[in-house]
Amino acid sequence: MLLEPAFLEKLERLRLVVRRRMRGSVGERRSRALGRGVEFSDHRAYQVGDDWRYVDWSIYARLDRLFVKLFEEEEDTDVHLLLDASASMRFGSPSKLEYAKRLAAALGYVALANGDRVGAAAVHAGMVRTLPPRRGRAHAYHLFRFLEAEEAHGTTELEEAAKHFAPHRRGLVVALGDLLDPRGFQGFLKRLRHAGLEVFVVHLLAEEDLAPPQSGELRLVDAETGESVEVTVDEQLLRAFASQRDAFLEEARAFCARAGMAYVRATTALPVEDVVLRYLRQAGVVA
Amino acid sequence: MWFLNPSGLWWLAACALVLLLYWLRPRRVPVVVPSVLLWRRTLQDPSLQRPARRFERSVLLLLQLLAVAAASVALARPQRLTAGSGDVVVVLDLGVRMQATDVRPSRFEAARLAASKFLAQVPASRVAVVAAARTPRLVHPLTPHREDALRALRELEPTDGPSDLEVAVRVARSLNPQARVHTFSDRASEQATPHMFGGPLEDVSITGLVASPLPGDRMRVAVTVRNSTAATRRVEVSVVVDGRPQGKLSLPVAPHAEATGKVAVPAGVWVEATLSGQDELPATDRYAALGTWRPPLRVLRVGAEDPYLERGLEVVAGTVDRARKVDPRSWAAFPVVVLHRAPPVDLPPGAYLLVNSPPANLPVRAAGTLPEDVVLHQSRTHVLLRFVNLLGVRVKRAWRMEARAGEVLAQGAAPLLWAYESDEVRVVVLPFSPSQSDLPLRPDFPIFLANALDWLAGPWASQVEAGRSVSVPSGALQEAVLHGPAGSVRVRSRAGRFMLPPFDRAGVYVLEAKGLQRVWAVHPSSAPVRGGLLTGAGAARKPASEQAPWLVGLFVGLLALEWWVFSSGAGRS
Repeated sequence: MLLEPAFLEKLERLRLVVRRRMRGSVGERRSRALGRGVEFSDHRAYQVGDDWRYVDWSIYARLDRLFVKLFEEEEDTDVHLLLDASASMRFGSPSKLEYAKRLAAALGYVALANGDRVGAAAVHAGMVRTLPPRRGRAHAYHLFRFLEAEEAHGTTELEEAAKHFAPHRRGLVVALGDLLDPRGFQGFLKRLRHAGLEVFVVHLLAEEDLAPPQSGELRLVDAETGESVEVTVDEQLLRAFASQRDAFLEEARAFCARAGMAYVRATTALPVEDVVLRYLRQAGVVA
Repeated sequence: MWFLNPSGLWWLAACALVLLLYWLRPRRVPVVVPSVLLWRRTLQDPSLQRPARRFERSVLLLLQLLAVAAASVALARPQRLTAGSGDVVVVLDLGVRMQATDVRPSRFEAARLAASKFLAQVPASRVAVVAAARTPRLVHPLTPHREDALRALRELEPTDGPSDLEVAVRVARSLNPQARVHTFSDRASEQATPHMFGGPLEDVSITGLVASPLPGDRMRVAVTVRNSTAATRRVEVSVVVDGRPQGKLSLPVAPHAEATGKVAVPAGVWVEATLSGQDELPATDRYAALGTWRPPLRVLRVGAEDPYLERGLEVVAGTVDRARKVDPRSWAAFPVVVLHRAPPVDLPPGAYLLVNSPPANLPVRAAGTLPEDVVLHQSRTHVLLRFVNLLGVRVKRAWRMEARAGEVLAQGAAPLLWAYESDEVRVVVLPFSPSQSDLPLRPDFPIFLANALDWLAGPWASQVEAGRSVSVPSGALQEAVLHGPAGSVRVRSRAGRFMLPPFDRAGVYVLEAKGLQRVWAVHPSSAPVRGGLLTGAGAARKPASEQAPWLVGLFVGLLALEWWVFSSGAGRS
């Protein structure tokens, strides 16, 4: 059981907030597309090509300037839960993968509860195992089973995996992983972005990622590739590692900010409930 | 702080070995991590790739280096300089055991070389040298001039005698109680810093040689041999009498035991036994002793004749020369001068039997005459009256003695026999002529005369252990020659005696002068030969300035701490 019933009840009251315009069919997702929907949202200056029907003539009469009215359009959205299930995700207590599963389940349940189509994909060694998007609460059962069946193994090849991840419709993709890809995570996220997907990055970290396991003469073995690095862990190295770690985290955050992607960082020490109900809400990911 | 054994500091080089081993065998702990991505980025910093970083902050390495350093410094035997310890006294053992060759070239040579180096390098304001022989002596007093002390040290030679290290250390301490005393010996002293030379010895030695008379001008020689080895030895002993080979012995000797063999040889003045074969202490392979033959005693009788005295001297003395005229200048050639009814005269240094002859320069004087007297009391301990009974001897006429010193040996109403001994003279006074008493009628008379002449002449020959010093009454003689194993030396009379140098070498020594001959058979010290000894419980006690025990304790503590750190897994910081 990935999520407790009490937590599911709390999730019923949440909805995903998507900031970019998305194309979908009937649903409850609010879109900021012009000329659709019935609920007024905002004004903006007229641009060439805008539909004259949405020009607010009363403002024109007062200000002698053209503004168009914006309406929030209700539409359904595809939500893709993309999990990094490489070997590095088995670290942590609970493991990063376990944590990602629960977080994905929670977000997927929120989306399903709001009438969105929810699909899932797990990435191992550049390959993708997918669960096609479906609508309806009954799909939650399939989603949870799909997530529970995932095991951490293989290498992290995010960009290669992104090539195989080709959703039929645009929508929101929630990428959950540690982003520890030797080839870099940027190409992966750019590919998602270029596919027209709204990207929400949940950067998961375990204690092992934040600090070395012990001090002294160590031979660090990569859990995915088997490569090793010989280090003498002392205060100097710890300071240097902390500096590199912070730079990596800041690099991820800054990249997502530049690319207009939502970015949340979480460690496995935090309860999933707190992350969803508190931190994701503060970040404007759910409301 | 200074080091007694600076060469011990070479062990500090072992620190480099520890570092090398540590560098070659890092024994890195494998740890599986999610990704080495960030570690690779971290290690791109060149300052983190220095090989020396492997040694930094390793508690185990630090403890190992400290332990090696502590052990090295302990081997160098650091000494703490305390207030008042600016003086250093070197005590060099001259005992016979120091001639052992288990240390090349010998214990003594090695000890002297070490002492010289020590004396040249030790930080001290003044240095002194003391020789530990049978009678320890100050070779050079405290001096700031080390070259002088070194020169005195280089002139020392080992002896065949024993050595008294404790007394030598006391002599050294007497120079300055605060001085640092260092002994260079095969033993240790309680109150000094020891420098030890030698180990257990494999030695076979002669420990006894006795000659006893046999009929027919021959003598029996008994030789005792000690085997200090762990195996039974058959030893061949050559016997030499007065310089001529006269016999041989073959003796099996059990391990750590003694055996005695006997051989009959012609009588002689001295006899010497020599072991064949070689061992680690050749000095104890020869042994000299007196033979059974004695030369006749030569006596000068001066003054009037007395038939009983003449007859008695002829029986007891070997040769009796006679002179009526009293001429002290001619007496120097005679070991004993007998004066009978001679006028008072100043006696020159020598030995005299004064029979009815009052002396002029002795603490006794003639206070009139004694008409008749009987011996009522006599000494029962003095050697002059050994086997002699004078009680009841009647004296018809004598002069009355009044003695202020010396010893009255027989007495009636007045002293009737008096003996006196000083540095210059040895005198026996009989205040009456034998013919004026019934003494010649007794069998005690010749015995008394023999005792008197023996006592006055002194022992003609003696047997002593090496290292002893002796003095001989010189009488009127001014100079004599001492012949010994190392050659001949002239000795001059001082205060009526010949003060002879110590008999440091075993062998036969002969003192010769006009009318004088004395013989000493000197044998090596027969003290048990043990090597590398720590004598007594005090040997374990170290001088207060010795720092090595603390460092050894630190070494052990560091090893224990290292083991604990290793066991607890806290070895890496």
